[in-house]
Amino acid sequence: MNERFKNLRKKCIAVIAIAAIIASGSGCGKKETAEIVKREGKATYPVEAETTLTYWCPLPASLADKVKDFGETEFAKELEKRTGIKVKYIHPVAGQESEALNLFIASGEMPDIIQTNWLGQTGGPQSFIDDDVIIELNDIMEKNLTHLPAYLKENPDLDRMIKTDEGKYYCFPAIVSDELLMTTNGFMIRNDWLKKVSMDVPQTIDDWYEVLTAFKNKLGVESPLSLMASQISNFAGAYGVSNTFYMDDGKVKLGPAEDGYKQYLMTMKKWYDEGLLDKDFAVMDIKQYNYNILSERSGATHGAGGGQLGYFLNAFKDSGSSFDIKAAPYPVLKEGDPIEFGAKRSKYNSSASAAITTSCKDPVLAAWWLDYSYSLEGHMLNNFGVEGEDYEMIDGYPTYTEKITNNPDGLSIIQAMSMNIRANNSFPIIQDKRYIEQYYELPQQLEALEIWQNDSELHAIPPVTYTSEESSEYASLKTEIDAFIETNTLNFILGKRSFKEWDKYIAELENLNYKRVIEIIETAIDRYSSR
Amino acid sequence: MKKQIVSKHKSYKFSSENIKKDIMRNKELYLIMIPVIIFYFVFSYLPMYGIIIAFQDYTPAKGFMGSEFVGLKHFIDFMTGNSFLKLLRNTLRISCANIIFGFPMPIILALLINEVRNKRFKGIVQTCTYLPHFISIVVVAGMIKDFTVSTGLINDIIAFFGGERVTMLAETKYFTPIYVISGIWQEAGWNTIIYLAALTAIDKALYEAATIDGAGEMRKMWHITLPAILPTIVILLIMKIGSMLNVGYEKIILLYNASTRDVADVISTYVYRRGLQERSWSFSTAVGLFNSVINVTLLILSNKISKMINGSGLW
Amino acid sequence: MKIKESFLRKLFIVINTLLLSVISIVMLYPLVYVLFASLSNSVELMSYGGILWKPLGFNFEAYRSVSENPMIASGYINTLIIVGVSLLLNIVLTSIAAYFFSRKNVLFQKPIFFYVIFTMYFSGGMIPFFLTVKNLGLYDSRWAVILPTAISTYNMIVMKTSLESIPDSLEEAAKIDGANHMHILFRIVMPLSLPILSVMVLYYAVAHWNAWFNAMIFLQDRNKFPLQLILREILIQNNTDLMNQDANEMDAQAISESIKYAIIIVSTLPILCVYPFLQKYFVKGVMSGAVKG
Repeated sequence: MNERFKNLRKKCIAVIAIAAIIASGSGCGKKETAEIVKREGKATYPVEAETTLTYWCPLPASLADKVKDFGETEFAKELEKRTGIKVKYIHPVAGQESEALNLFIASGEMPDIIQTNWLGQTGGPQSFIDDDVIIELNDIMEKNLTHLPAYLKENPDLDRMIKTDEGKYYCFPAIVSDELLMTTNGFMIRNDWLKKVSMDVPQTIDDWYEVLTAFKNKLGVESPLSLMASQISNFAGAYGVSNTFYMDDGKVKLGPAEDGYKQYLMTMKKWYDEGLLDKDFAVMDIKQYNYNILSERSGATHGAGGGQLGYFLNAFKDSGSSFDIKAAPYPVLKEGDPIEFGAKRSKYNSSASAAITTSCKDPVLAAWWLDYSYSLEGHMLNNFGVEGEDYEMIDGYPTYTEKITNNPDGLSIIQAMSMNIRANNSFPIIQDKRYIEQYYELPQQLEALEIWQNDSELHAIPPVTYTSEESSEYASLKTEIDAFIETNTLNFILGKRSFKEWDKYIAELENLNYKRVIEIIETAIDRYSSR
Repeated sequence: MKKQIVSKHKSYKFSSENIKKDIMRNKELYLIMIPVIIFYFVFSYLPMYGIIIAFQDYTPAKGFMGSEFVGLKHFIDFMTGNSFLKLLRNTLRISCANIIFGFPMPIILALLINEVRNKRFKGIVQTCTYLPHFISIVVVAGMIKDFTVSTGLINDIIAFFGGERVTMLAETKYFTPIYVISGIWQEAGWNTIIYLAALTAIDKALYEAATIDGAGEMRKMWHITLPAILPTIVILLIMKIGSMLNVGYEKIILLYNASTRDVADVISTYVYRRGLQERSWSFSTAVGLFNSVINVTLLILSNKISKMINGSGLW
Repeated sequence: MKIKESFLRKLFIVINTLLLSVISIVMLYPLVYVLFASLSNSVELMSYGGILWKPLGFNFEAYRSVSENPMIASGYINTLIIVGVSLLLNIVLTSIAAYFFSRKNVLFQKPIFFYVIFTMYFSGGMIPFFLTVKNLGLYDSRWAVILPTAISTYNMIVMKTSLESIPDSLEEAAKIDGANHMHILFRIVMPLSLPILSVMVLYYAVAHWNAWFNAMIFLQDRNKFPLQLILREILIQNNTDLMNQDANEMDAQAISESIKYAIIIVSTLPILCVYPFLQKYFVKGVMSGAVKG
């Protein structure tokens, strides 16, 4: 019996020993320094290389039910052919990007290139360079690259945006090259209804009120204006405030702590009480929102030129209905006021920045591959595809062929584009405005791009970076402030909180220490301006 | 080591003689248990070193060894935070409502189904009631919204009886009921399965004997059926109480909005939100640890109470 | 007296039948809704609010589209592999553990029970778990999805509770006949526990069928993705709540509503069929039969 017991004990010890080995392995899951391939000079495409690079980026939504990974698209195949560099695409599962990213960083085994919003990560890009997650690109840029450096030289403002405070380049940026591409979201209103009540497209808040009231009273529309809770703030701009932190005359301000915000809320409450604003706006999701427009319960909303405006118009295209919806400018208070608030992207679209990680064994090759996008050929490929197949040059204007606009395999234009080009999704490339001029097939959409123009960059906070300490303080304060503002904004509009409590509300907001956040942003801006 | 255990479990007597005897008697039993023990060791105990990050300012890049130790900072942060009391209150309210209203439903449903004599009808009812369990919460939340908006079905009914239409999900007072009722709707049928399985174990002879003794249906249910599933009920209830602080974030996030956040924000959604913005691994681990400690306390308490009342418990 | 009682009994049966019918209909509805929606025209579906009584603009367009999705077929195969292998492992290990904990007079039973139950409450978190599995060499392998879920403590406890009700006399008798524990477990206890076993099969099968999280963190090769991961990706795609997207930045609408619903149907129907198959074990009175034999 004793024998048996000993045996058992031996086994147990063996098991524990094995386990301990595994544990010690997992405890220090840090990377070893791998052999880095050295490459000299600049690239001549196609490059001859054996290495297959790994590239981590979200899979465009329009491809989710068409391909397994981006490598299957015709675009990726063409890019591989032109650059001579093999790339394996890895995609995070939608909605779980940050988990996936953190696991990469934690395990120390990352894909060669990671495309994400490095600027928005807590800690900011510099901390990822310091922690050996991504490499700084200054050296490579200078010695090995041609096209991105050239582009940055021509665009010094962009150059400043994609550096850290310490002057390190950290990514290959997604660049929005034209004003026209920066505002693809805005208000839209039923044009046929406007005609019925013989009114013009509303410009001011008062116009809006009259139009919506006319829709309601004369046309019997149930809820003339449909917006999701997060879209309402697009009216705040008329009162000279934003719904979050913004710049005003070189100072950082918090919109919801300003008086203008109170006036905006009072207006919205009035609209809500009078049934102009959909009763369900507080809980509205995309489905409800689309339903309201398509079922003609609402005649005005806010959305994107492609995903909404185009979608609505196309939905009624063949039905013979008089449905017509057109863009309306961002509202102002008095006629002729400049439009200084509105949705507008920055020239540097930080959400799709590609950085080379320290796991990459051939960083120069990766850089060459990424740099190709900023060359003229790469630019044409990214935006228009292959000449003769995807586009034809007609009078010097790259015009999409039927393959894109009227796909023989029955793909929609978005899907056909996603298959053959990259401009309609977030990638580190230079977006060309000639792409959107054709992506927006309908005149209403093209007109929208002009109508939605605004000067909101006057109030935009530049792409600053925070230090590690600032960053965590900023994030934890801001989370609470955002939640507080969101809740109270709704409560004021829904009438759950009376405007008599405004001073109390301001005091509560101050309690959340928003002034400290302003301080943090201002210091970061100082550093930014002295880059 | 041995002595400690002896003092804790007097009834067990881990004397070397007893151990020998036990090993001799049950060696095979222990042997077949080894894979199970290894499983828990490898997949649960090995990763447990991760708990230390609750006491660190962890960043993935610095790792578990390199991150700075900050002691109880995250626990204090959490417990002194502006929203701690609110979060705890909301979590407990939703959880308690779930237990009080949600827990008995499957039992009642199982008893009702058990009374059905027609086998086909029984089968159909069982199948229908368990179906909602399979619909993704994303879709269910969408349907809940459709039903509760001011133009939705429920408001149609309210308006039919002369009531006023309200956006129910924007009203704080409706949030918990909607959450709990939709939970019952989705899970009650599925949860009857375990009770129905337990009911099959009842010896039919008992019923026959009771009928001969002239017992009515109610009495049979009370004296035969219920006692038969009581152990299952008790175990499930104890485990449910022992996970009181775990209210999943996904359904809440899909249902709440800024105007109901005051009553809907629970610990898990708060952590989720902060996690998204801050990548706060340490903070969420600390909150998780806090949850676990409270949950285990509740588990032990409810087990004690259960043993006091009916002599049986989880252990 | 007798008459009155039988009248009450009949009344109860009528009410019970009615009540259960209503409950069944209410609970059946979500699936019916999903089915109808999947057969509807996408635009019509979007412009329709409230209860769906029939498909709108009946067509199979969405299913055609789903059948062209290259991920679905591979997702099916992966899910089947994962569910099959996992189930085998689950049932064996869970039965062993439940049997172990349901025995009487086992000295180390209680410490081991605490060892197990402790893991229900304390875990090292995602990163250490990830690193452990990765160091076992399981990253990007289906085993990474199968092995860590080999036992669900919750299910094990449910089964243990059920096994405790099996009379000791059976075991004693078997022991006298010289049977060992494996024999008792697989030849005597398990056949007696068909109802709880079928519950375990159902619980585990459904859990594995619906699981996506481990697959998400451990699988990189999309050829290995299980069905639920694909489903989830498509469901979440346009959901601003879970994507943390700014509604002002939206420009999606890529996947139509009816396709979403078609994918739900395609990915749930098979698992729905498991239950009716297992149901017969719930209806039989297993114990009474066993005592006789």
